[in-house]
Amino acid sequence: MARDFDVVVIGAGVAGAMTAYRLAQDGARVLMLEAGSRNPARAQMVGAYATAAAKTLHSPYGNPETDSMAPSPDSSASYYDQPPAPHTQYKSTYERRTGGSTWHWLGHTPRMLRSDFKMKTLYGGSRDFPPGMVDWPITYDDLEPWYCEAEHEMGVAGSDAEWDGLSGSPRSKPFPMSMIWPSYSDDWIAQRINGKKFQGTEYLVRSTPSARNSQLYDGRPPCAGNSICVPLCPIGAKYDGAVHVAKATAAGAALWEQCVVNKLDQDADGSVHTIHFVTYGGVQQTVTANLVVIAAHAIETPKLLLMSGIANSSGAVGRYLMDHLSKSVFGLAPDKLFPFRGPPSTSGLESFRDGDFRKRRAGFRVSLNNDGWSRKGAPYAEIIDLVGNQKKIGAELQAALFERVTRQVRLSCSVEVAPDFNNQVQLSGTTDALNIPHPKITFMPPDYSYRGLSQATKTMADMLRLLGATGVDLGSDDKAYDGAGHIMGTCRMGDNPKTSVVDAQCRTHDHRNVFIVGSAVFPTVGSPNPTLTLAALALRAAKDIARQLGAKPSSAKSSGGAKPKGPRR
Amino acid sequence: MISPKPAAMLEQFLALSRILTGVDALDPALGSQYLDRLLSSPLEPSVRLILKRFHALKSEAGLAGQVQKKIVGDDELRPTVCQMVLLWYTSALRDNQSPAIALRYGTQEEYFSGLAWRIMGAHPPGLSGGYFGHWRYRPDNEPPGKT
Repeated sequence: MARDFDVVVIGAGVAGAMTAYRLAQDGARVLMLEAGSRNPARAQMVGAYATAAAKTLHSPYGNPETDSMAPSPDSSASYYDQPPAPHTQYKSTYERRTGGSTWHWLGHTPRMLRSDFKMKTLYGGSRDFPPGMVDWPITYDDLEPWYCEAEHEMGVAGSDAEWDGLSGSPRSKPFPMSMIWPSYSDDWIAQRINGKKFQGTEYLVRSTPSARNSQLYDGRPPCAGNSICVPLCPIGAKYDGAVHVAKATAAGAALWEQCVVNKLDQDADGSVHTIHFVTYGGVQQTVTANLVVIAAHAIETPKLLLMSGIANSSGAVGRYLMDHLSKSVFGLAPDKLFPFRGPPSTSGLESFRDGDFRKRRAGFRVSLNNDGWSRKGAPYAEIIDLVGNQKKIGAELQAALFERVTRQVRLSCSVEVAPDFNNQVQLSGTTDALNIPHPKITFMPPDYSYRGLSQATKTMADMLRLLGATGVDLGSDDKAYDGAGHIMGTCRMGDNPKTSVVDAQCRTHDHRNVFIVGSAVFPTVGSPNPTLTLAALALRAAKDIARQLGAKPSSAKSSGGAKPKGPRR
Repeated sequence: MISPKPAAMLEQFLALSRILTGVDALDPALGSQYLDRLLSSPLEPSVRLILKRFHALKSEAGLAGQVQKKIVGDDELRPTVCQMVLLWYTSALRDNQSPAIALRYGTQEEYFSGLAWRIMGAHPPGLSGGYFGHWRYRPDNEPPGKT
């Protein structure tokens, strides 16, 4: 039977675009269906950010049409159907647009550690070890070559000397670019804490690998330290998924935007070939494909599967929703550190990610940040206080502002969240403008992760002590956390079809021609930022998809079927 | 619709702003835009009162000290003074007096002209004007004598 495309990729973010690019390079007829819209020119978005009342993640991207027809938690505070605060909440959000949420990511690309793939084998067995914590069906060594591929595709800058062999996790190739330089503040902090220990673990500041150019790479300029990677790199030095959307279309893939997929049909033989989508004009349409790749992140992907009633014989679709628990602490250094310059974070500590302690509590990363106390309102709050309360003006005001702001330090942590069956995405009873259900979210950090958060707070407090910081603010609530923007889980990978959604190749157990790429497939998460790992998995899956397509060539291809021109509006 | 402001009013505003901000080289075009924003807000009566009082001070000696005492020291006027400084320093006006700071910005040009960033040895977020790696060093624009 002739079908419209060899492959339809649902979602044009980093995972979908990389998959589409590789398959189009292999000669497959690929369509990317994207619910969101294409962004306007970068300069226009910088202008939108500059004039926005609140410099939120969404501030450069507001688009009334997209925000209405393909809403997201970035565009709508009520998009998630979850209990209001003070109940525990899921706090990470995402964009729905061409290029995906990498538009506003920080760009950090640490790899997972060897041990992160073997949590149950290495640390399982104790009463405190979460029952949902499993081994991945693949190892670090399986993924390592794909990490190298992903680093090459995205353009990762890093220090081989600092990262090769970290916690038993070797690198087979050097980073494509030398590291993003540490900040003045990073070096100052490193001089004061490196070699010292907290409860037996040594402090060592490392530069953080980042998909941010340290030189001209792939036609994009080196970072100029514009300081607003989140929410938007003004010059394109930071990688985003639109890079591979452009590469995919240049390689021959089609891209249909503003097409919201709302159902996949399962055939009698268990395969899925028919994709239903609705345009912003409300026109319901279908497209057919030999193979379907779902790359709609870890919340829209399970939503679509649940709406379609597929891929869920395990009952695990939507389950094991994860993130990293993030928390910031603040202090004033005795010296001037000159924050508010450079990328928001350029260095961190990796020594607390792994160890025997993971039998009972989560590991974590610590980031050194270059944004002063901006999360506490700096410099606006300082100006208001200095003039409004302290009656300072002129040179006296300038001196006071300089003195106060240049010593500001912020440390933050990113704590591993253990997979928990009850943390999940379901379909809400409320719907959006296209009558598509909102995601209903249930999320409560496991005690294992709260214990990690507590330890991370103690560690950062000790760091501030070593720095001689004053005015220390550790927060008043031990269990308060922020989202890290690392939305993971909900379609976990595993060998057992009874307990997992996809196999080691990211193919759904239930449908041989349906693949899921993206962080939805993570069975566990460790503590690193997830994008590099999801990109590596997507590239690895693309190879298996290409192999599968080759094994069963497209009948449309062999019969010379014409490619559809695009959706009706 | 903002009524045309007299040139003298702008001059008063710029002269006062130099004292408040501590910056002599203020852009008159930017000052005109900022004054328009202030006069088209609920701050208008207070701004007019401040400028009137400033005008009356001009003939007196020790102008900065007089501003400090008779304008900044006035509890009724100081919130508006604070808004004037915030405007020059960040291009923002504060929307309310609640604990959460809600801000309104003007144009993109105004945002990138905020004076606070340079005073802090930094740059406006989104426009460093710098080279790769500049953040590893003390700032090129570090104010003299403030090491």
